[in-house]
Formats: sequence, structure tokens, C-alpha cells
Amino acid sequence: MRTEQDLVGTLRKAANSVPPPVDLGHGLVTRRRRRTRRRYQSALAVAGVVAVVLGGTAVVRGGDRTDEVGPMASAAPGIVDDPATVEGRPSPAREVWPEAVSTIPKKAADGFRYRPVTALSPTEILLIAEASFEKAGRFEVYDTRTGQARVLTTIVPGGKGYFEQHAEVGQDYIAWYGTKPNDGVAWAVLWAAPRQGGDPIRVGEVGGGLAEVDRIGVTKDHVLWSPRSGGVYRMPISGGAPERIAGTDGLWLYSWPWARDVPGDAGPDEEQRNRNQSLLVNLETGARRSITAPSGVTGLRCATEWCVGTSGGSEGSEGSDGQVFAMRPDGTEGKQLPGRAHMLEIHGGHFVQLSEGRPALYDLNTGKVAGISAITKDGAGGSYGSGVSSSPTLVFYWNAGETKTKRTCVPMREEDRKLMASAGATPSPGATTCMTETIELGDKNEILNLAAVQDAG
Amino acid sequence: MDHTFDEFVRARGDALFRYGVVLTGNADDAADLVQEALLRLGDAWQRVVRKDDPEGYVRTIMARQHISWWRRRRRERLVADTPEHGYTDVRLDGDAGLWAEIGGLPPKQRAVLVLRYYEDLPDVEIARILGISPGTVRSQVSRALDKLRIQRRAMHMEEV
Repeated sequence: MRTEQDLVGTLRKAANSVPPPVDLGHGLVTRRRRRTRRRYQSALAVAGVVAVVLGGTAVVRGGDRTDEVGPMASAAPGIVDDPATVEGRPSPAREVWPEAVSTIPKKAADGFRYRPVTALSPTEILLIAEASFEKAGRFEVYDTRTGQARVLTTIVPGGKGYFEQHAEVGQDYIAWYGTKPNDGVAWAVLWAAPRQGGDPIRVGEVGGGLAEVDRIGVTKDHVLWSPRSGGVYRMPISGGAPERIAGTDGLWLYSWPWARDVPGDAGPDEEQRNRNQSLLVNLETGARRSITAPSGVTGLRCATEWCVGTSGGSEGSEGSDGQVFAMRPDGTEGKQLPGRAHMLEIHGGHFVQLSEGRPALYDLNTGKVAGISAITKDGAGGSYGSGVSSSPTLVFYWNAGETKTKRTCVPMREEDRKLMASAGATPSPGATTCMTETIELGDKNEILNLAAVQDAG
Repeated sequence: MDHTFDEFVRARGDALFRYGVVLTGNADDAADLVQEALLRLGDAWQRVVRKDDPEGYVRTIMARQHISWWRRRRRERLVADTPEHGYTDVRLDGDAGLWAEIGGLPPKQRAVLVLRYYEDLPDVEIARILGISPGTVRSQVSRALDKLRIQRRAMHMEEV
């Protein structure tokens, strides 16, 4: 009879029996590009056109992991890629929306790193200046016309383990909250500061389920938020107890004054991610709009003018597999968008973030699409960032200077060689293990401000 | 910009791959699973790194994705009529048969075993990760151990 200890031992040994693929990070970049092609291949496989033969590829050939699905690619004659999904290279945002792209320093004069939040206006970007990663120091406003930054308010240190979380911009105030995510106690503190600048106001603390903040909002007299469990709560900026806003059961704040019947952050749960929004509620006026997702669409998320979701995903449980679908909240003007998306959300009323060979933004009003990442000379994608506001951000940024990839190869270690041999693969004598790094030069980012995009079509 | 994500991939990629091997039973599917989960993590990086533990997030995605992919792949196999998706022959010193038998378990049972005996997680946590009840976790463990002819310790007996 076997014991549980045998099981533990077997799993451990199995885990260490094959060498990890080299270049996992670089693999991610190629994988992003390859996604569209793979989808056709899967479709063929399901249709029984080819036998699915995935060779024994732990498999490094001369150091490169071979992660192409070779046999299937050759078995797809006559399949013409849908033009909407061709591995594209959307033009950079600077060419598509020149009026909305500026350069912005990566650091303040005192060395604090800037983390963009969202736009305050077509020419003003709200930034968090951080002393070190995620140690916020102050909010600043950067004027893209003058190239000057000014301090909006300072951030009061919250002690060890304390992190500022998302910030939100309202008409009269900005608001933010902080938590101590790693001490196991649910706790959050809510802050506000006048949008025109001034001292930070400690609005209050909450604990328990209320402290698991999904999104926040701010009005002229309250900070509002939805906990992950739903409902919309508020607290007076002048101080006072939290109260639940009547009639918000099963609703989550989307972007004040709008709420909807799906959370802003569904987390890793597939079912939550794939649930369709069916309601959009204006908490100021009480107006409720019902939304009906067409059949086959999952993960529908709506703002006032547009909805986006996924259509044609295989197996329903895999939203990331399908195409991006958009429609008006009343169900008209339904259309498939190019590329793919994981995080479906409407930014700035009519933009959706998708990946079309490289990360891009698509304008639902005009059909224009613009790349939002840096690119290297050899065409590999660099990284990009999006603003950290609570409701969908209006800013996306990427390195303005040269972006290079650096590939370093070293002879394969003896232990990897042995492991591979034991897994049935035989690396050639000169086999190497390689790593690719992306290096972003320069001290400036380019930043796209959706509030500055002119809607000329 | 988020170098921190690249750093995470560099620092944790190998460990995640090994977890993938134990979940899926072979290197191909493991690499596939890790990359898919990392892509998703990358998209959510700024949020996850602030609010959640990125490693836990990506391991959760992998466990769930493994179960959902397995269903789809099984259909493909049936249609294409290829033999059982092979697992890597790991040439275990001792009980090679056990690894092969683990490969024959339904995906959810396998995931539960991996989370409990490889990741060493409590049942409540396993339940949260897989989106099932702790009772289901216990019954899946029990069934899996029975199939593998593994003797349970007394404390587990009474939970069954």
C-alpha cells in the first residue's frame, strides 16, 4: 500500500524531472503575436482535420525552446486569415492621435518616480510621485503644454506594510485609499484632497468586508466605494460613519455616478469574468438601463455609449479565447473588433484596449487603432503602462527613448543537460541557454491622454 | 514602467513551470499553461501587484485553466483519435507507476491532489482556488487517493 508521503515524493520528483523552458519571458511576447494563428489551428483540430501531435518538446534546440505547433501549421492549406485578425502592426499612437500624445519625465527633479493615474483635462495628467516602488509620496499634476509639474497634495505615510491603492478624480476632489494587504486584517483608509490642490483629508477607516475595496468614487461631499461583495457605500468627506446607499444591492460602482451589476475587478474567477452586465444605473438620477447581451457573447461590460465583450470563445469558460465584440447598450451597431483582449473595459467612453500584434487602443467611434507600446528595432514589443485610477484610466504610457532587446546565451548547464536526457531529449553538444531582456533607455515616457483625442473620425 | 513584471517572470517562471508539470503531467502543456497564465497576469499586473499576491493569482489561474483546457483537449483527442496524451517519462527512481496513474485521474481530482500534496495548501484554500466547496475538496481527495491505492492518515479518514 502506498502512503501520502509517496505521493508527495512522486509529485516533487515529477516537478523536477524536466528543465524549465528557457526564455519564458520572450516566449510571452511571441505567444501574444501567435495567438490569432493558434486559434485557427485549434478550430481545425476540433474539426478533425489533423491529428493533434505535440512532439516531446521539453525541448530546447540549440538553446531555443521550440514552442511552435509545427505539424498543425502545415496542415492548414487554403485557410486565409480573416483580415480583421491578421497579425497587425497598428501605427503608433503618436501618428494616429498626435494631438493626444506628449512626453513626460519618468522621474521628478528630486528622483521620485512618476506613476501616471489618469487625466484631469486634455492637458493635465494626474501623477503619483513615489520614493520607491509603491511607496507613494505625493500627487502631482503635469501640464503637457508647459511641461511643468505642480504638487496637488502630499500623501501621509501609513507605516510599514501600508500601500496607497487606486485614486479617483471627481469634479471637486480627488480621492484615494490605502490598505495593508499583507497583514491578514481587512482594513482600508479613505482619503480625499481638493482637486485644485490643498491638504489631504483623512475621511475615515473601514474594516471587514467593507475594506475590500473594488472601486471608489468621489462627489462634492462624499467618498464612495463598492466592496468586492457588492453594494455602494459612502462616507462624508467632513467625517462620519459609512452608510450603504439604498437600492444598490447587487450593484458595483463603475465610474461615478454610474454603477452596474458586475464588479470592476472580477479577479481570477472565470465565471465572474464571463458574466454579462445587464444593468447600468445612474446613482444620481436613479435612471436604470437594461442591457441584453447577444447569445454567444460573454464578459459584456458597458459604459453609457458602448459595450464590449467576447464572442466566439470556445467552451464558454475561456473568455480570452474569442474575438472582441462591441455594441451600443441598446444592442444596435454590433461589431467584431480586430485583435484580442483580456481586460475588457471601456476607457474614456469609446476606447477599448486590445492586443493586435502589440498592445493597442481601438476607438469605437472612428474605428481607428493605435499602438501603445514601445517597439524595438527588430520589431519586438516593449512594455507599456496604464494609469492606476480606480475607474478606467484615460492614460497609457510607454518608453519614449530607444528600446532594445539584449540576448545573453550561456552554455547549457550540465544538470539541465542530464534532466533533458532523462526526459528523452538530446541536446546537441553546443546547446546553450538564452535569456532575452528588454532595455528601455532614456528618462522620458510618451503618454497618451484619451481626454485629448479629437473626435474627428 | 513595469519591469517588475519581467522580474517576476524571471524569478518565478521556473517554479511556475514545475507546478505546471505536476498539474498537467507533461512539459508541453505545462509551458502552455504557464505562458497563458502569465499573459493574463501581465494584463492585470498593476492591479494584482497592489492588491493580491501575484504568485497566488497566477497559480489559481493555472489550476483553473488546467481543468478547463483538459476538457477541450479531450474532445480534440476523441475527434483526432490519437492515443492518450502522453506524459513525460520521468524515470522515477521508485514508484514510476504512481506518476502514470496520477496521469489517469480526472483533472479536478488531479488539481486537488497537486494543491494539497505539492502546494501543501489547506482544504479551505483549495476550495477557494478551484471555486468548489471544502466538502467537494475532501471527497475529490478521497476518491483520488482510493484510485491510487494510497493509505490515508487517520486524521484524513474522519474528514471523508
